[in-house]
Amino acid sequence: MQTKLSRREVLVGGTAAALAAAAPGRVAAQAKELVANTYGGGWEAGHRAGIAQPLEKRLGIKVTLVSMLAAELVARTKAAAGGRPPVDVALVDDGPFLLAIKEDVFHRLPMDRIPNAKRIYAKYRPKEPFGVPIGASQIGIAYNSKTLKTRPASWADLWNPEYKGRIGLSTPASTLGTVTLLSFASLKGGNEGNIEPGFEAVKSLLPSVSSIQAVPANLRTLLERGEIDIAPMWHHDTTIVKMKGTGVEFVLPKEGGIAGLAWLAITKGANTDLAIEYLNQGLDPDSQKLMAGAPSYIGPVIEGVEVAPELRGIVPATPADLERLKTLDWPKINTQRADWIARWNREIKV
Amino acid sequence: MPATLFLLVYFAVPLGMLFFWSVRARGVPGLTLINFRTLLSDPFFLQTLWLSVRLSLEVTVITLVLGFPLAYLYTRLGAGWRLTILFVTLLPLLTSAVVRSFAWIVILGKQGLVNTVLMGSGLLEAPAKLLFTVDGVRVALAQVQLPFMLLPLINALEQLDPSLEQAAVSLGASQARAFFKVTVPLSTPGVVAGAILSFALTISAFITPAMVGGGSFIVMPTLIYQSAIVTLDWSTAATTALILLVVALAVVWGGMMLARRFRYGVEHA
Repeated sequence: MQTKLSRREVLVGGTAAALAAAAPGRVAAQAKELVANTYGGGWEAGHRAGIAQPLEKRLGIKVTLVSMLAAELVARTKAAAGGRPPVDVALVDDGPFLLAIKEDVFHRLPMDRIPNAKRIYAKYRPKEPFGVPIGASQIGIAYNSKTLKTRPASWADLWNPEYKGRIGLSTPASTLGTVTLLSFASLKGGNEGNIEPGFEAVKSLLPSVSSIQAVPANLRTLLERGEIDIAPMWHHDTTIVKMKGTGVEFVLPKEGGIAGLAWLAITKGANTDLAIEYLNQGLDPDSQKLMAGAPSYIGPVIEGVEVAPELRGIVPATPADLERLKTLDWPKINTQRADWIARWNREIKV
Repeated sequence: MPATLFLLVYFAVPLGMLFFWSVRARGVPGLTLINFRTLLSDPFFLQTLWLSVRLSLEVTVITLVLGFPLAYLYTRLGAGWRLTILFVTLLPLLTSAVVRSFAWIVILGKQGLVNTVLMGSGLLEAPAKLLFTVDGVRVALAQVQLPFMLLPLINALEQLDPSLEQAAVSLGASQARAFFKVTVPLSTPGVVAGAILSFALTISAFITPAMVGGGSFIVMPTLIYQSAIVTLDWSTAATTALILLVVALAVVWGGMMLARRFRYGVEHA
C-alpha cells in the first residue's frame, strides 16, 4: 500500500483543514441579536444576570456572551477592521481600551442616548466618550489566612520571611501584573514615568516567589490549590476564591489601592442601536447592584449602590472607598508597556 | 481546481500577509529588513529560539522512545489490548489544552499527586519543585504529543509483514537483532511522520508551557502572543512567526535527510 499521498489527496486534505481552521466567526447578525464579550467566570455570570438577561427580557432580543480577554478582543477587532467585528459590545480593561481607541476600532458614543451615564462617579468618567466604565476593581493582597499566620498590612509586608516560597506574581502582559509593578514602584517613589524602583522591588522579592503567571486566572487557580498562599490580586478574583471556603482573605494595603476599570465600548460595524441599550442597561442601578454581589463581586461605577455588609470595604462602592483608590495614567503606561514586558522577559526569572 | 483555489486563499494569502507585515516597520517608509535585524541580533530572542527548538527535539525523542514500544505492542497484541492502548493514549485529545495542562498542575504541584505519593511513602521530606520547571514542561508536552507520534507509528508498523522479522530469526538472528535490523529500519517512514507531527506541534505549543512552565517560561509562541495580542506590534509578531516557521522547516528537513540514511531503499513496506 502506498504511503505517499497523491497530490490530489494533499489538496483536498489541505482545503478541508483550512476550512475547518477558518473559524465560523459570528452567526449572521440580525436586527434582534447582540454579541458581547466577557472575561469568563464571575464576569460572565455577572454580566449575564445583570445585563444580558434583563435586556433580553425588556427588548425581546437575543444576547450572546462570548469569553474573551481584553487584549485578544482588541487584537481580533483590529484584525477584522473593515469587516464584521467579533463582538458588538466590547468589554476591555483600561490599557487595551486606550490602545483600541488609538487603533480607531470603537465608535464615538452618543452620550445623550445613554441616560444612565449621568450616574457615573466623577472619578471614573472617561475623558473622551469612546466607552463607559462598567465595573471597578481594586488591587490588593490575597492571602490564605489558614496557612499563613501573619496578616499583611502593607505592600512592604510581602518581604516578610514567613511568605518565602509562597508568593505568586503576574507579568506585565496582564493588567494585574502591570498594576502590581506600579504598586511596587510607588513604594520607593516610582510611578508611570519611573518604573525602575518597581523592577528593583520585584527582583528583590524574587527569592520568595514561587510562581509567575501571565494569566491572572491561573494565579487564582494556584491560590485555590494551595500552590501559592499570597499574591497581589484583584478584589473580585480574591472574593471568588474566598467564597469557596479556602480561607483566602483580601487585604487593601495601607498605602491604598489602585483602581482598575473595565469599560464597555461599541465596535465599528456593530449593531449600534442595540449596543447602546446594552451599555445603558449595564449602568442601571439594579444591574450594578446585581453585579456587585455574588458571583461576580464587581465594584459599581455609579453612585448610590449598596453592597452586602460582608463585602463592604472589599468591593469598592462608596465615595470613601474611592478616596483610597488611585487611578493610573494609562496613556503613559501604554507607550512603555512593550518595553516593560520585554524587560520582564529578560530580567525576571523564577 | 477549487481545492487548489481554497488552498491558495487559506494558506498562501495568510503567509503573504505575514510576510507583508514583517517587512514593514513603524516610522520607516517602504520595505525594510529592520525587524529581522533587530530580532536576530537580540541575544534573548536567540536564546528563546534555541530553547524552543531544543525543547521540541527533546520532546520528540521522548515521544519516540515511549511511542515505539507502545506501537510495537499494539501490533503484537490482541484486540482488547489494542483498544485499551488507543483509548488511554487518545482520551486526552478529547479535552482542550487548558484542561490537560491543568491536570498537570494537579499532578506536579506541591500538593499534587507525585509529591503526595513521594512524601507519603517517606521518600521525600518536603515537596519537590516539579511544577514551573523545564522538566515539568517537557513531561507534560511529551504526554500531550504522544498520540501524534503513536498513530503514525502504529500505521507504519501495521503495514510491515511480520514474517520478515520471523524470517530473520529463522535465519539465525536473535529476536533483538531481528527487531533492530529489520523492523526498526522498515518503520522509518512512520517514525519520520510521527516525529514531524510531534516536533511541529511542540514548537508551536503555547498553553502548556504557559501553564505548566509559569509566566517566566518563555518560548517562541509566548513572544508571538505578547507582540500580536498584548502590544499589537504586528510587525514584530509577523517577523517572529516567520523566523520560527523557517527554523522549524529547516529542522524538519534536516531530520528527513537524516532519516534517509536509516531506511532501506524500499519505498513501500
